[in-house]
Amino acid sequence: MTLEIKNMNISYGDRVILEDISFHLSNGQLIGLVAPNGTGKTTLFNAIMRFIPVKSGQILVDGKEYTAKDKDILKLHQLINFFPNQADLHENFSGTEHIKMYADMWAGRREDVQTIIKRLEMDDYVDRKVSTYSLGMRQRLCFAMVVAADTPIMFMDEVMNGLDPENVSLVSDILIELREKGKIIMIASHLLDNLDEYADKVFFLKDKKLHHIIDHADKREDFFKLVCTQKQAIALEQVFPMPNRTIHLGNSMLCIPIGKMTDEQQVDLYRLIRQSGDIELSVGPLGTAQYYSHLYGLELHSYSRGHSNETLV
Amino acid sequence: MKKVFKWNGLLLLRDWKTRLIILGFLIFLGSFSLLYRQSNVVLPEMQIREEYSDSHQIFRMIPASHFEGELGQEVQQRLGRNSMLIGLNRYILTQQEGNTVAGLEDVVSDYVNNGREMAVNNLFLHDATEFESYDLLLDVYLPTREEVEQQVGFYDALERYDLDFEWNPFSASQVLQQQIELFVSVVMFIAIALLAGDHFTKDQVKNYSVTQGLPLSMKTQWRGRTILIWAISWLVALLGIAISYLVSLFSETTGSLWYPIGVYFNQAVRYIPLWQYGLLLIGLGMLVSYVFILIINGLSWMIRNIYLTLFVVGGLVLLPMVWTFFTPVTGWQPSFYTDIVSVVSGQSARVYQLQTIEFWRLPIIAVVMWVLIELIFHFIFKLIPTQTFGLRRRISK
Repeated sequence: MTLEIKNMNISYGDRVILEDISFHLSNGQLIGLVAPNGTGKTTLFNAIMRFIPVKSGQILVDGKEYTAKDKDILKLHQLINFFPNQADLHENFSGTEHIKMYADMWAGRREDVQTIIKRLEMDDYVDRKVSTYSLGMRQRLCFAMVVAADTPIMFMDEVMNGLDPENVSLVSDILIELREKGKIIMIASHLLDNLDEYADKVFFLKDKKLHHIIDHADKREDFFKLVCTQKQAIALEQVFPMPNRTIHLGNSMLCIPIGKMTDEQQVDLYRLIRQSGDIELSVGPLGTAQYYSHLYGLELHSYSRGHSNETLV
Repeated sequence: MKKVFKWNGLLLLRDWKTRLIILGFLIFLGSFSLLYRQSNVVLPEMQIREEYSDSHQIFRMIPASHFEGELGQEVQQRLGRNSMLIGLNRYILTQQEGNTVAGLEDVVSDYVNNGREMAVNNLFLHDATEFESYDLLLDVYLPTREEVEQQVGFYDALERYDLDFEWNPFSASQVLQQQIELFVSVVMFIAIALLAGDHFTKDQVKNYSVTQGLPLSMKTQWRGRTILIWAISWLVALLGIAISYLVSLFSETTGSLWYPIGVYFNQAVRYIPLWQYGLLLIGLGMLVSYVFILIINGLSWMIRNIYLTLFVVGGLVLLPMVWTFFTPVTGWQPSFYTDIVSVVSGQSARVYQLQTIEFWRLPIIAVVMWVLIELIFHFIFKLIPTQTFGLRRRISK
């Protein structure tokens, strides 16, 4: 199965929200969708689902266009499931009933419901009324509903919201399993490092457009990624000639490309970094979090971990 | 549709608002016969007391000279006979023994025969146009010709079904009639408006992302949910009416389900048994309520404001009142037919002076309205509800 969006433009009245969005996804792809709040992630999902008017553009599944006609929308909704908001759950229903309802509505079978409940470790609460659930319980339930619907395409908006690290890991594992089953999954998330654990590609929305795509399958250049103060970064730059594509990410990170450095240069730089006090260092290609900071100019105003004022000797 | 019935049915029954409404209406309808006994009704003996007084007054008002001549004497004789018959019926009622007084059958005759004889006499008086005080008779004494003819028809029907006049307005059958009439006139509309007024609104305001995007067309959901609410409403109504009837069977006289009730048909009032009348009202009520629930459910999706939805529905129910100010055009105007009891009894035809307002038109009008509503919402459901309570057209190709 494939999902293709061609030249999609979305506006609310005169206000343009997204323009000229195009991408093509195929079987077994897990896509991260990343942007600051209010940039249009949910709008993009809503537009593809045809929950809001689409000014122009095409939505194609397996090459067939799904227009704004009733029949097309109904068929589209049979193919795509949109992650529900935990606040919208029916308070008088139990978790099991929600999962069964989604299984019944889409997949037309309820045999997998108990398996899903066990896999998501919901046995101890799932038969209680939703009104008694915590945020994390609700979120897991919403995820279970989408899994039970078992549609070939799944849109997950803020799927990790309110989940503790253990459940983030659990949900991530299941997302990977779903991908292995051939599902096309798009995930809007602010857990950027988490996206790097499983997303095949990460889409960045900026200036109303699909601005940048990280493809984890591509070979990417390694960086020295330094978590440091601006003062520490400047001091380091004064004693070591930095390559051209060195990136300052906000006020908390310096990313130095090492692809074109000799081994000796890398070791020298490493020594300088180690001498610079409490700088945290990691090595690898730029991740989603670094691109995010780079693209959106993220400044960590609360970035203060009691760094010493020491500079390079 | 099966999925809509299953899951929306469960959702409806889990909702505390629905439960309270169902319980409230079940208690009200089930205890109606007990509540009704507290009401003030015009008892037959009170009514006949007035007639008795009128029958005496008329002799004082008509000059003695007008009773001379063959016609005058005949009129005097009929008036006198009526006066006596009213007196006899009054006596029967005061004895509280039903339609006859045991042991005095030969003297006082029975209530029904007396009534029929009075009606026949009154018909004669209506025909006595040559009588000098004819106008006085019409103004002071005689019911209208239609009423008298209806009385004759009523007594004929009593005789046909071998029934006595029912003098107990609290008998089980009489209360059943009152209850069904009240239900299809008022209670039914309140029940369906409260049940359906926020049906889709709740989905969109409280459960938007869970219900939006279900792989079911809006029309399927709309129809399915309409049938659900309709079925629940009528299940509760019929159960409540049955309970009330059973209670009154034990606490009052039974009356008869064959008791004749006037139905306006072919521009005349005909009498049918109470059970047929009840089924007729319920059947017509079912049609009207289905059309109304379709509208209410549709509005609850469109407007997403229960108060505005209820206001619009209230307006539709009260629409026939407009025709007391404006001249109605035809008996096919749908607005007349929300007042089912008046249409069936012929009161609407009288009030709006349109003889063609007859109940048999209601099913035809209901079908036409259903088709119209389907067409209107076919277009409305193509739109997308926005956060600002408006509807927007899907604009991409």
